[in-house]
Amino acid sequence: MNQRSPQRDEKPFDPRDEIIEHLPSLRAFAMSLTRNPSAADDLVHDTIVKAWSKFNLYKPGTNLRAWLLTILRNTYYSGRRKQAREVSDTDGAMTERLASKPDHDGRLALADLASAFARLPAEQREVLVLVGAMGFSIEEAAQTCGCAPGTVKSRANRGRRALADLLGLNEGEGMDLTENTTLAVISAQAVAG
Amino acid sequence: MMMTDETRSSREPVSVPPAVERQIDENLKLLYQQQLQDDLPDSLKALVEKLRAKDQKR
Repeated sequence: MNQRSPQRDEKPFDPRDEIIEHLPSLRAFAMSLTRNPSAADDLVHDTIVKAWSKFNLYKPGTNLRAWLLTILRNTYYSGRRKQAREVSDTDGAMTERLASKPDHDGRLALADLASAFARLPAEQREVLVLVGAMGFSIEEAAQTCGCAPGTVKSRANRGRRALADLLGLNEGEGMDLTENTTLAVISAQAVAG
Repeated sequence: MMMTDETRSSREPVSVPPAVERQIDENLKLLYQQQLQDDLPDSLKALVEKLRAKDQKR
């Protein structure tokens, strides 16, 4: 009988081997916070460097993506405190680009969503990305954001309410954003930005 | 104007109807999925390789 020895065959888990596959999530989360591709890349860069020096603190078996997102989030707010003010010019340019007059109805809807989302406070954007887009549970998001589950729920509710108000959404009113052309246009805008 | 917690009356109902919540979340997922498909900057991949190589030298 060919019995494999786990001691010989199994390589110990090393989060350094996994970090590459989490880079897209990190970048998307960074985009939701900074609303600027260049600033997002800088934020992910700083996050990788910090994470690399702290991997000895990571507990194997826990959620690595959430751990990395926490570092990214803390890095973002730490940087914001240092700047002492929002990068309003950059934000404004991003919002204007996303809200530019559309050629198609589908493009209008998704661009409007992105524009409305950019107007929310960072605290609401981050919980909506974690809970609404990434599918984190309230508890996972609370752990990532370092706050109580009730705070996450409240911020998510307020964020959704603000989006619904900004987009004029009422129950039963559709928001058709599923066209491939819409996604292609938004993707092109993101690359151009 | 930035929508903040302070700009909304505490008496106003905050939650959106479940159908609207679902609609918003589904479309946020679309935006997020689209961003996941964006090409990663080479500089980020290069940084990971650089850090890995640095570790191996130790």
